[in-house]
Amino acid sequence: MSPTDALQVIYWAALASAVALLIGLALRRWRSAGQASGALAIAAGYIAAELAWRGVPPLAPVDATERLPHIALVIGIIGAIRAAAGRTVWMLIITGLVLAGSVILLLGPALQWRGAGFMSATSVLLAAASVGVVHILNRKAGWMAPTWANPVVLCLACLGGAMALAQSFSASLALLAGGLAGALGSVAVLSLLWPRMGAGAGANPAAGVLLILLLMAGWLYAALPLPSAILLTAAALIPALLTSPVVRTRKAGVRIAMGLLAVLVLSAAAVWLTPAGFDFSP
Amino acid sequence: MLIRTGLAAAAVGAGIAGLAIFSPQAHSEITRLLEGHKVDSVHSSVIFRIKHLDTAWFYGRFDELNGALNYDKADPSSSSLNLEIKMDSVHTGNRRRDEHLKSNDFFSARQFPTSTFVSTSFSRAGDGVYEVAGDLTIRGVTQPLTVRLEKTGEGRNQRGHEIVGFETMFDIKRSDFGITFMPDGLGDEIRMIVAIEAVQQ
Repeated sequence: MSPTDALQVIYWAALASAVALLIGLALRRWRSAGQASGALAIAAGYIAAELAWRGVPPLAPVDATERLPHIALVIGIIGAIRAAAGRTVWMLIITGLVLAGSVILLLGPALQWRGAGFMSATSVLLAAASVGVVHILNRKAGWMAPTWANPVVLCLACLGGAMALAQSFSASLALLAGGLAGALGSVAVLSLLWPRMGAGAGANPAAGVLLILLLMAGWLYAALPLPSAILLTAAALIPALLTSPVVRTRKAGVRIAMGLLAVLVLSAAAVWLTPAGFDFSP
Repeated sequence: MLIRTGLAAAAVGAGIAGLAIFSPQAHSEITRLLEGHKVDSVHSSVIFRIKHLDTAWFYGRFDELNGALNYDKADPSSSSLNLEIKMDSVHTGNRRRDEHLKSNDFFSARQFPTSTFVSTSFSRAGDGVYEVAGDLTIRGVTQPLTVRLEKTGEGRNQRGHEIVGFETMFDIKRSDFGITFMPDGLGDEIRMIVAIEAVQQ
């Protein structure tokens, strides 16, 4: 893998994401177009990254990580439907179930030696956790205004994840996390140009969930240490976690700086904990 | 009187038959046909080579090979060979490269901890040479494979157990098994050399 390969993956992901957002911008007369296009932009960007790096994924995946592009598509569609349907309890439950199913698909090979009881208990637990994660990521993080700030923070978390995954002997997962960062970059740029579009509100939960799934895959199927995965998951949730009144009352620039610093510290700690010094030359 | 004689004859006959069946030599003949050999992991080897940057062959090995060989010298067609390689036993002399090979970029060893070969047919192809067809499964993908298995010797180990040795060499394409990472840096064709020492059970 060369730096050119990495740039190529990020480029195609950013381009696909930008195209999806521009389509959403063209349809902005529809109330939820911005938020829906944000979610679809993340899915498009991730799938473009997958195509650029690994080619067309098989319809019947063999490797668990080959299921991720299919999961990304589902997450994008669910995000778009949520934007249209609004934050009803039913949508939250459906989203949680879809996410739990996605996690089970990813975990499946790692859990295949367990019994039906363990799988059932895991499914219920993951459904509840997924609903919680989506709820957290969807909360109005007003303290992070302007709207481009959340995608930037999440983009940084993805880049930290990419570095940690690269240090964990998985070039594939590292590049996909890089692609996700590229997609979020497009969201940030277009949110800067059209702040009222609201793309970030749809993009952030989708990207956050995909990043968490990539980290889970890195922990299960590569050598990403669990503490690193946890630190990077916390980094992905920074925009929503730091909504305390103390932070909210500060100036926008200070809040953004605090968010960026928090993600940088968490990402640096996660990378430091990974097996270091991996050389990607064959 | 006649009944007692008949019963006695039957008892003697049964005793002789029993001795015949359970005598050490007869036992070894039957067990040679009925029992198999277990692959001795310590004295068996799996080596692979792959071309690096289209320039030089690079060799690596797997340290753990298990399996069973049911070898019938008299009737090879009833023989069978099952092998299992532990993928996390890959050893290339560089720890980081070994870890990379185990990751989802190559073997996905955590998802697919073993690669297996299960024979479907076993036939004689010459003096001490056999043609063995079977299914090779790597990284969850199964492909048919036919190899020429050469008998390299037989004897007894230090514990007096019968041992037999076989060796085979064959080529596969890693892309056939979904391993496509670094197509420019690493060749698609892999040569495998498998040397087995099996101990009679």
